[in-house]
Amino acid sequence: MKTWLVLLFFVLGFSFRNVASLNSDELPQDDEEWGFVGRETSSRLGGGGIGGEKTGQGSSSSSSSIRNVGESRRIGSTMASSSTTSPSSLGVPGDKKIQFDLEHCFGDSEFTPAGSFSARLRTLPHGRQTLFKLRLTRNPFSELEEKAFKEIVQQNGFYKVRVPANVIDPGKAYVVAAVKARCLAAANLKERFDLNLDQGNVVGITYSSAVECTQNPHPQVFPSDWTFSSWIVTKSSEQAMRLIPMLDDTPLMSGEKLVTGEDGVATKVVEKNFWQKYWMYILPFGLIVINAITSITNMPDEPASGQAGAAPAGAVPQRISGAGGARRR
Amino acid sequence: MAHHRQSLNLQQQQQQLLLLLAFVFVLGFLTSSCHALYEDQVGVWDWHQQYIGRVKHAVFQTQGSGRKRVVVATEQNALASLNLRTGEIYWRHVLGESDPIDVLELASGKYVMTLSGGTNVRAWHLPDGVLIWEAAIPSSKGSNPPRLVALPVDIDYDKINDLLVLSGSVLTALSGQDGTTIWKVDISGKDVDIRDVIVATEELKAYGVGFIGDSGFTVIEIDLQAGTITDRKTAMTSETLSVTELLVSKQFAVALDSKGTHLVTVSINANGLTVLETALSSLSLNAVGLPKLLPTKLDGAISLALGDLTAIVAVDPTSGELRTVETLVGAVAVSDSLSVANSKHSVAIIQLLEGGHSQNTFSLHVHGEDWTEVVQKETVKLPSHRGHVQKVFLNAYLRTDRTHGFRALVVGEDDSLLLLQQGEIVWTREDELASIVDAKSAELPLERDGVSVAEVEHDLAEWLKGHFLKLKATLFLASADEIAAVQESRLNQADKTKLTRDHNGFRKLLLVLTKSGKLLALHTGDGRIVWSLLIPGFRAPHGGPQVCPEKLLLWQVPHQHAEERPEVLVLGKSCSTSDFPAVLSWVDAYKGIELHTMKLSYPVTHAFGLPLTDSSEQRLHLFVDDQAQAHLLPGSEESLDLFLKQKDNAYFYEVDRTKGIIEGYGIKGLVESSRQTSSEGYLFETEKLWSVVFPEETESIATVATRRPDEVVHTQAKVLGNREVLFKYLNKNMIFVATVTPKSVGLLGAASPEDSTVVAYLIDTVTGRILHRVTHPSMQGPVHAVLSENWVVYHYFNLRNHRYEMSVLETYDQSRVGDKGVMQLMLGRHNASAPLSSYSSSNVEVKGQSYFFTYTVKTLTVTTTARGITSKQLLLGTVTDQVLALDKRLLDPRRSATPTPSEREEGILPLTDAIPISPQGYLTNGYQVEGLRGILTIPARLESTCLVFAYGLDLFYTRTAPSRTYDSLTEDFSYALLLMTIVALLIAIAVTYVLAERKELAEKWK
Repeated sequence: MKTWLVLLFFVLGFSFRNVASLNSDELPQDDEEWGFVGRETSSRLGGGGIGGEKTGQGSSSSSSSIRNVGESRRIGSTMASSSTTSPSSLGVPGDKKIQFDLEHCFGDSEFTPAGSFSARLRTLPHGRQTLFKLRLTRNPFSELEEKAFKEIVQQNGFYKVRVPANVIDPGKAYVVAAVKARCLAAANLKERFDLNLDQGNVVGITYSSAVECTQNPHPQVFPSDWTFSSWIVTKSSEQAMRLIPMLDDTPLMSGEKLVTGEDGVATKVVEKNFWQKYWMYILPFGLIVINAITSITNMPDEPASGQAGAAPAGAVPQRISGAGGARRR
Repeated sequence: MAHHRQSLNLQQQQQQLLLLLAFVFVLGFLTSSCHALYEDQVGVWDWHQQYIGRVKHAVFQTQGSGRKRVVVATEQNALASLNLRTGEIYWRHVLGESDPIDVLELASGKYVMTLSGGTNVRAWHLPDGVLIWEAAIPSSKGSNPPRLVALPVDIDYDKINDLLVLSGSVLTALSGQDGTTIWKVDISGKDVDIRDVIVATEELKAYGVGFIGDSGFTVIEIDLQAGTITDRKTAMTSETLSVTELLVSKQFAVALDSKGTHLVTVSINANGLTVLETALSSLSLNAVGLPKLLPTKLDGAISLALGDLTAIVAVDPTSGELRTVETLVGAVAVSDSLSVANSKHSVAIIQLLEGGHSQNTFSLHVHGEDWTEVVQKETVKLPSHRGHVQKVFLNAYLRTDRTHGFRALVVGEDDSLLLLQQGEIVWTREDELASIVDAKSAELPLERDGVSVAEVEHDLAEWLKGHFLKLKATLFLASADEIAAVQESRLNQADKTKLTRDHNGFRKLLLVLTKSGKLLALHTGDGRIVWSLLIPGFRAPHGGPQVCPEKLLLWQVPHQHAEERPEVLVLGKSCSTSDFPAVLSWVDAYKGIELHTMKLSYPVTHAFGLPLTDSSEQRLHLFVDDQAQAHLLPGSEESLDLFLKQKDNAYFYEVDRTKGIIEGYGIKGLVESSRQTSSEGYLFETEKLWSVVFPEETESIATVATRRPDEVVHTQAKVLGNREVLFKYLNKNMIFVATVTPKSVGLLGAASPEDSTVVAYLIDTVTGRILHRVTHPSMQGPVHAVLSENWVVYHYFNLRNHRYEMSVLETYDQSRVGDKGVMQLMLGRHNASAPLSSYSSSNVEVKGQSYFFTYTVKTLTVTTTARGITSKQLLLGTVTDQVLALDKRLLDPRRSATPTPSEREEGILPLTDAIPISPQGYLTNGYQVEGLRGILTIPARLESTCLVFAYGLDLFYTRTAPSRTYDSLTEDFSYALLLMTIVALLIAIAVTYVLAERKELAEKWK
């Protein structure tokens, strides 16, 4: 039974992977159900203030979403490298489909196209723009590129990628990121892009192998399969909570009362109970009383045990006992 | 039921107890944050020094019976009155950064008049520096230096002499009484460019003198009482003129022609203007390069610089004929003319003596009315670290034999101020210390075996006597004299100022680098200068390119070899251009001598020390040039081997503020050809690995904060109240970057709250990974930040609430969260020791919180201690130029309004919306560190204590113990009392023993 289940899961997983890779091949026109990628957390704006329970001073969690985009086929020819902007025929009006290049370089070489990102750009009513549904179509390595990659793996060099900093209107500025080629090779070209987006801008990319690569020095291995598998994570900025001046309107706790000070500001004061107020008087008084009681209870015993007389109780017995001791010796 | 109620009561009691505990704890915390001093503790371990900066204008007040003084204005925008006998400050005012003093004049013998920026005229009362009035003149166009003339006459009949101000093309007459405008006249015209104004008192006329275009002169006559233009005279020249400089005297004006071959003189007389052109060659002056007119005000003469040469040319006022009276070579300073009795004029010329280079000997000549006559002739030897004389101000006094003597106030190359009289230096002010560029600390040498402490200290009897006096003082038995003696001994503790290392690490050298290229070592004990050096490698040859000191790097800090001397490396760059090759200078930190200097063949954009040292403990340094190539120094085989081993793990980053880009680089291979020129450093190719591009329209870099490279962190784990462990994310390569909206960079109100945002980033500089990004809408810069351990605190302005805010971000490593619990940590069953790699996918949790804060902040730093155990204090340079210490616990992101009992136990304070400021938190006590620019914190050897050095125009040094001095006795601990108590007890024991014996014996005999 168990084996059957495992097998079923395996088959299911395999087929799902296949489906995913198929999906990425043809770019879906509209799949709203996937949700936004890298959307600003505008809904959380100005929520909460300081003063309440937990005070809402913390910051809202960052909205980051993870998208696994399947690998691409090996294409001999390079793709069109210009980024195109075309209004979408379907979907929400104001949405635009945009495309921008991913370029790569091996060590010192020039940057060449390595694939293209496609995304949807939505202009929100208040003028902000968000990018979502980010997909990457990765060009597989050509023969030359494969050779260059092997070379930098041998040299323990860096494999670098870049995308335009402004993806809507690409200028001269590029955001660059690099990974140790050996890490990428060891991970079998399973790569991970962490894109920090700010409206239509890419602020920074973290490019890493999808598999942890912390060994130093990295062992030299070549990928067994030369197909890229990209994992895209988009991150947008967190918004700090607005700090609202704290008005001290918390209800009075039991035992508290308002006292207006010299400066006219009412402050809460915890009212002390009787013991808290007067312990310093009660304590010595109590000690004295206890002392007195013990001395009183002792007093009647003394004359009975010792000799009769008017001598002070404290000194006489001692002397007697001391003298007695001396005599005994 | 009753049982149930009892348990409820018990719970309540427990709660009350906990509340009480928390209360006690909070109370304890509050008291521990108090660092107030008692009156008699001031000056025991802190010191404060006041400076004024490099003097640019000086006027003397020596007439009359009052105290002799000199009023100076400095390049640091300070106005001060100094005692002419001692150089002490009578009073001082520091004007704002955008308020430079252009003109300084004395009026009516008791007012100091200043003109700032051509728009602000101020009158100060000479004896006490009180501002009497201030007048704002509407700024008019024109970039010429403004002029202020204190009129010797009263034009508005209020019995106080008035003023004339030329600002741009508008001439304004101001009342000397209260600064009101008497009249105002625009003297511009077509192509007219008025440069200066002169006054003819007898005729009650003022004359504006200037150019017409570039080929003529004009003189405009103005009636002083009416303020109307009465006449305009013009004279054209055949040559085109160089309009950069016009020297105007009462009877003539002189300019250069555009080719720099002729001097053009125009004589101003009743008939009109006569122009005379004289070739420089006919004055036997051979021009080397372009000649330059010097703005020195000489009577009947002008001075001009021709390359290495300074010439003084006398002008005949009627004909305008010229005659060379003096040609001087090399470093020369010429004073303005000084009129002494019988309207005679004198001029001082200070010149480096021939062959006096090694001795730094100067000749001071005072020339009389006729240039041939030398009234006074002296030679002065200045200390070599003063350099050449840059400026000289002449003052006359009456000798005992009723003849005139002269004294000179000179400004040295190092910006110091000296008074010379009779060939001697009367006093010196170390005003170079007002412009500190960089500061570092160095250890003092170890105590030598031969010198024991006892020899330096007083003998035992003296020591006991001192303590006995102290004891008397504490028991209120001492007389006033004795109390004074105690205070005296406290302030002048012999061991405070010794030049050797002490056990607690309080005695150190403060190495400060000043703008003038001088390196000084100050003693932390009393702030005295141990040595000073005008770095020879940075001294500009006469007229050559100036080298500005940039950075102080600790080149060699000996730990193992105590006999080795620490060395510092000073990096200098060209003051004007960025592509000029850098200059390096190595200085011995004990002796203050330059060991060697090197002019590099490449410019340096930035330099930093690596965490590697060679066998002689020289630190390896990387210098990055403008081609983003890295140069490794020292250029030895050993350092190269060391570095090659670590090459693959070496990364650096560059911040381009103008483009808004941060770029990260990795080190590639060694350029083999650089092995030959290894003295300039091994050259390494670099590779750009990552870049972070801030959106141009919405973000520009406001500040970048990094960790101190020498910071010590005691523990990575933070144990919470519930015995769980939080792991700090301690990434040494993490930087903090804050960006602001470019529109809101300027003044407040430049942008509306809607489109003004501060964005804070935490970036890993190895991979370029943005670890955290948080936006603060409606906020504005300037942003000040400090990064330490796993937290960053930053300060900015909230446009919505119109208040300053401080935010804190703390990073915690969630990937280690599995090992919770103190027991596991103690038993070593945790992975806290696993190295942190920038390449591992980090799981960083960032906690943040914001608080309101009352003050503007000038600078922000944090205390450091030797082992990092002591809690931290934030040190803020406030707008009032004081240093405020804030406990880091006030800025804890885990503060909440109702802390749980376990959080209270941990010491988390209940949340407030603002950071409270305790008046006792000011480390500067009652002092102000005028123009505060930086705070240097140095760990002492004693873990509890941190040394604090604040610098600006003033210097201030003190010690702070953020968690009180838990590891040492306070210094007013009475050893004598302890000793005497012990002795008394011993005696008492002996006496009672004897008495007891006797008594027992007596008893036995009974």
